[in-house]
Amino acid sequence: MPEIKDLISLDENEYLKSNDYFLGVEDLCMYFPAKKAAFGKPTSWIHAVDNVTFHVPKGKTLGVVGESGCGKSTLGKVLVHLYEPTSGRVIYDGVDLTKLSGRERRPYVQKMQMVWQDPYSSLDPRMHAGDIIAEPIRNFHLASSEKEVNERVQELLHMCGLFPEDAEKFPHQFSGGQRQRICIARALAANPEFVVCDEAVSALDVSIQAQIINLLKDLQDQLKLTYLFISHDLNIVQFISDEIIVMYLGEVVERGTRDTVYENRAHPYTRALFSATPEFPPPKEKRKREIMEGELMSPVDPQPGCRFANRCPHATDKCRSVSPEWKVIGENHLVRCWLYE
Amino acid sequence: MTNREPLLEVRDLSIAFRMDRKTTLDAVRNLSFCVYPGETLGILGESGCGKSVTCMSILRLLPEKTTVYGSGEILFEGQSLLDMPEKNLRKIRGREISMIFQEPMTSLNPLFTVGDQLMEIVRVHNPGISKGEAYNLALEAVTDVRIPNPERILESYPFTMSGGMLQRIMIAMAMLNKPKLLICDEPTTALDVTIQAQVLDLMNRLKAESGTSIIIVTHDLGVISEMSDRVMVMYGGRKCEEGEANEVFFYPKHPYTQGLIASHPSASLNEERLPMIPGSVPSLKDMPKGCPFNNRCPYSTELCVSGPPAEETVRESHVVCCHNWKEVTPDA
Repeated sequence: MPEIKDLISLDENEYLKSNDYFLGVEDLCMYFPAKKAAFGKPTSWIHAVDNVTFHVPKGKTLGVVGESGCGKSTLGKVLVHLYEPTSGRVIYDGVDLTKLSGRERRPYVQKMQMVWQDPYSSLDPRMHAGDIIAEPIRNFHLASSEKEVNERVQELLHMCGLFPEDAEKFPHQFSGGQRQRICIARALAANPEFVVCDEAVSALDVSIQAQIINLLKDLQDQLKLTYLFISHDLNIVQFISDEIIVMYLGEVVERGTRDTVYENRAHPYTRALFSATPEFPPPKEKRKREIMEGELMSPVDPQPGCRFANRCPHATDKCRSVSPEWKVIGENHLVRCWLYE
Repeated sequence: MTNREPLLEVRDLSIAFRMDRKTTLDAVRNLSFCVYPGETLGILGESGCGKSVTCMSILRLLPEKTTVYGSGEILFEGQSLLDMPEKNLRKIRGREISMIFQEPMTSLNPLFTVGDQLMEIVRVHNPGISKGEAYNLALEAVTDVRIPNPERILESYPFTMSGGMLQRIMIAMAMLNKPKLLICDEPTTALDVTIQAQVLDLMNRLKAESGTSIIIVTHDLGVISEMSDRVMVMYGGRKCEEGEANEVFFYPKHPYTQGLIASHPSASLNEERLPMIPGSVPSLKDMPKGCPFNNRCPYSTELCVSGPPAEETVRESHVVCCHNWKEVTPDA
């Protein structure tokens, strides 16, 4: 589809000009087989991530928002190469990662790390915190001696707000917030440039969330990290992100800088999502919310047309039959909706 | 406040759990609060602050063998729930007071259809009722919570449904016998925001129609400010602050409430960093002496270590439990 391409490259040129464009994802698709015929040939597919395109400038944070099942976690996993994408390109610092062999890819594995959602299940209960953090250092041969490994572990512990003696402890001796600090230290141990934070603060208590978010921000300033920050919490995404993409059922429906998306919510889904989020501090006047009826469509072999059409208050026959295309509606603000024709 | 009779009154409640012969852990200490007819009380707190234990104790759902009710009493319409024989309590559970739990996926029995489980509740509390009448009541309840295609839903099993759908069925089930009090323990934490909005809207509508009082327990400031008339903030098993929702959110007096509100990201969007509460929530084993918040509190003095703070009235219906609340300024 040339029209979509044109719009996207328009946007891309802007980034190339500013020379900051760092990670690019183009037409990325990740399908999982849903049903298999005899001899294991898949007959229907779950479209977990479908034609996703975006760019992240260096040192910035891209926030990914959407409900559960919209493919945001799958997207993160494809980026750190836990899944081989079905099609599309992942361009990292000018190199197309999807074309590389396993051996060629290894240095990029090191540069792209991930922080997981649940700090209770993402640490090996039988390993000391110090060994957990040392594992990437040893694996990627980032230190020449065991002494150097230990120094690096101590440095990372300090950086993430933990104490030197914590290296000798087991994960169960830490609280949730401290465990998430260990996870962050482990991700940083590999000297990454790009970190995927998949719901990194969702499992934490409110007073601890703020500490971890501040830690992530400080580390970003110190180490010039680029983040992909996946979360369903719009308040947190708004605080931490520079740019935002909104996903619905595997597709990106709106993208733009933080303020354009938060202030001029263009796509009906974005509006409904924001309206559904309870406001705090409470507004002086009770507002009328747009309550979205219905639930997500199945992502198995989706019908043509806009995937949000069955819940959208503005849906027309065109929406139900033809998939909308990208439309530029403002500076750095793109939306996929037929309302903006 | 007004001289309305409270529907539920919790007085000086202390709950401890027996770990072994010698040790007990205090989960809730000297907690008092009231719920008035037709109002929504929000209980706000982080994990381990005793909010769920408090809810469970109202219906005496905590394991009897290991739970020690140290002091205090829970009065529902003047009857003491803690001393009531199990037989009488059963008539109250699910009829006068019902409860919605956090995980809708695990609170229904996977071996029976939704219809069976709804009808069971009707028939247990109304022994004379016929099967057909029970079915009609169940159907009405499911229609009431706006589930499309209610006849089909009654014949389906819980595992075939989504979380939002199940939570609606839990609400239908809880509202079946038109209870006077509905206790919701983190009712929307497991749900997506758009589904959460639907469920909260539904709860507000049912409350308006039936006049049921609601206790809603959550750690989400947004949810609690949207739902509650009055708010109680808990920390380390004790009450920190209680009052009208807007009063507490706009003029918080307790340092913990202030810290929580300040650390909400929407308050400081253009700042570089979020204001935060240092340290972490202590576990029940090493709860500090005196005020449980004293090791994280910027205003902590020796007084705070020496003994727990008493309840002090800020103004009508707004109480705070802090030794130094007069020194605490709202924008600190």
